[in-house]
Amino acid sequence: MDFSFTEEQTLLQESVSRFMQNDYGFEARQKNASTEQGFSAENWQTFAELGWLGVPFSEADGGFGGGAIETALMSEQFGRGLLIEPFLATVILAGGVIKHGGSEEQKSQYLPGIIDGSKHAALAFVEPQARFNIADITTTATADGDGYVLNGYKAVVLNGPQADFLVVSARTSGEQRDEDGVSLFVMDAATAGISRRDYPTVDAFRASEITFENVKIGADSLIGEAGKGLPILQQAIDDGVLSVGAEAVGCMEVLYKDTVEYCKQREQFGQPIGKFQVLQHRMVDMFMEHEQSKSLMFMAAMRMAEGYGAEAQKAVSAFKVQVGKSGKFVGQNAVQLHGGMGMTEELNIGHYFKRLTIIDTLFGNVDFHLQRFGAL
Amino acid sequence: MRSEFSESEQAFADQVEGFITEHWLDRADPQRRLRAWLNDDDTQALRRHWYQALVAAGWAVPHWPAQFGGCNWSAAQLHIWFSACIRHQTPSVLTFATAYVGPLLMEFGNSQQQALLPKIARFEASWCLGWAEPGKMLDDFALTTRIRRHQSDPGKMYVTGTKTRVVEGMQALWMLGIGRLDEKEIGVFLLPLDQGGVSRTPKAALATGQPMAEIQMQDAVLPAWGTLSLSTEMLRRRLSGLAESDLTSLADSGALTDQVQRLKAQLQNEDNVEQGLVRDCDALAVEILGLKAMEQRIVQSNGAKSSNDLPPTAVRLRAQSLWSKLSELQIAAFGYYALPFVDGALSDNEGPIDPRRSSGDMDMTMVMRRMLSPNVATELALDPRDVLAQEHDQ
Repeated sequence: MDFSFTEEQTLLQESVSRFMQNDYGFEARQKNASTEQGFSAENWQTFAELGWLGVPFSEADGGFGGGAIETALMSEQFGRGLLIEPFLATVILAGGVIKHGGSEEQKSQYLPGIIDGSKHAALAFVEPQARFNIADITTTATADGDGYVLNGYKAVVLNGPQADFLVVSARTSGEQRDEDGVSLFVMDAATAGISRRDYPTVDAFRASEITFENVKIGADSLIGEAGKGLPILQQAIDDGVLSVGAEAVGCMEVLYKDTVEYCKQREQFGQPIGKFQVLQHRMVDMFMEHEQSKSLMFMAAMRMAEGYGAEAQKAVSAFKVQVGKSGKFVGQNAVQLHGGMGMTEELNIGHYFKRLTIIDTLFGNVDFHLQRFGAL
Repeated sequence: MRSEFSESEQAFADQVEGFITEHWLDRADPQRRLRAWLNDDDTQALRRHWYQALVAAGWAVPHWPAQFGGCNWSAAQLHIWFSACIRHQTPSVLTFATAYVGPLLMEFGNSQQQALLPKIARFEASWCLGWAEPGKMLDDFALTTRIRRHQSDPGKMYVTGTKTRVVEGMQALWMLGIGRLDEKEIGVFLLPLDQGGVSRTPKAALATGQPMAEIQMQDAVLPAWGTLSLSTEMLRRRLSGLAESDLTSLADSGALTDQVQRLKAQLQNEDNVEQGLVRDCDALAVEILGLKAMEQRIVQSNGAKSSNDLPPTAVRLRAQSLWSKLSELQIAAFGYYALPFVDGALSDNEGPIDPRRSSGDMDMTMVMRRMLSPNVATELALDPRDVLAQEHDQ
């Protein structure tokens, strides 16, 4: 194995780390999160100028030519800053589906807008009944002349409120849970027949419930082959798992380090509480959970970078299991060791914990990924 | 970044597999090989062949410096070698002598002490650690063993005291131990055990059925050069595997993977198995995968530590806790066959799993946690001793 980074990877990591440390303070983040948009458009443009929004895309598509390792390294730093901008929804998920399955025309139509920061996107793939089964789809796309008509409902569409275009999974054939018959479409979010109900999420992001009612789209909206969209969707979702998992690793690092610092300063019974061995054990355990998650992040990123297949899927699921368990442990202990302060809005600890809790649920929780890991 | 072996690493791994197959796997059936772990008489020849093959190949102490018999292998090669040995359950290539005593003598010993090295490197001199004492925790302050100089002949020294729970104490020829030189000073001694002042009593261990020993020393004679110049704190660090170059104890993931996969396959063939058990196997497999990546990070950094690196101690601690989890899972998988108690070999317990191992591993995990966790805390600048030292300096 080789865990060393290339010079470009190191520079990218340092660049994101520097920004998150110097220009992405917690108070500003909170202020941006409380706006109607839910993030800073200025930051988003900065990301575009720094080239970050193009990192996962090929140079031919106008991107940086990076892959899973670069995405993981960036996302880890995003996690440290508790990034609120919709990098995951726009770049990794919606952009990812187009990257993996889109035609050259679709790539040239949609990717430049993502890369230069002028367009936002969202991936509408969750349905209320489906839990984490991405093949469980009741939304239908019926052939109509030389196009399709979409009818159905998508839940918790991340970045739905801001999306300029949507990537949507729908069934063109087969039964509700069949793996065949799933198709992917890309369309303008303002297409007639699309309606939204927007809301903030627990971790301060924005999402929408989206209804599709006789939405007419052209044949050029279809991504890849009709009925064969599931593997493309799955790959984009696994990119997403790696990304949010890496984000969780960054969150955990902040939590354990802040907790260690706090315990060195907070005094009880005339001495810093960090002197109490029982608390030291807990902090060592937090550290270990973070390190184990970070190690699996490298493993998953390497597997994904070496080629997408069963080995990569297995590594990604293992990583998600670990992150789910470790995130809960680290988050709970950080709150407990901070005492009552840990539960307040003004301290960052609870916000990291909320993000970790949501990350566990995104794209399948510990149980789901453990089952997937065992079956692969 | 790359998740697999390089071409040269793969070639070396193949060479290692070939060696182990020839000198271990092909020498006896699995049941007999398992018994070799318990030092049964009928497996003595098997073990002897293994150690002779190691010495003949020059692979006995590959982790030592070349001038003392080492192989100049890279960290990756050492990891491949030790991983394969643990996975195939060969007789220990890392004995207490080759893993700890030898490197200590090289670093802290004088020429007379280093003269002991060749026998260690040929597996001819077995050593044990004399640390714990009856009724005492592993606490330096409670130490009662005394190292005493002869009143009229200061060149002569004697050791008096009792050491308990001495692993391999019944067979060892030498003891590396600690004793009190006076009220304040603690010394590290090298004591030949084959002498009149030493008596040993077997003390059964839960973990393997192999007896530990209680060793009584009554004016046992130390050689004139029989004390080693290092502090107990340093000794403790060395025994915890905290030497920067010590990668030897970080090679468990391969064996753990192998065992959990076998256990899962076995469970899947059972007609009446609880699904939770299979799921627990998968959960453990995930953690082992994490351990594997942690081991590789250490190998990559070659044990060097920086503020952003993973302390080797943390990996060791994690490995021990996973062995413990595996044992618990094996017990659960064993069902009613966890009940029989056959005082003998692992493989005689009506099946492949010895239920006593679980409590033994758990016990070891607790000990390791108590020993290693404070060291990781030190890495986090949390050790109270550090805080106190800083206060003292101010």
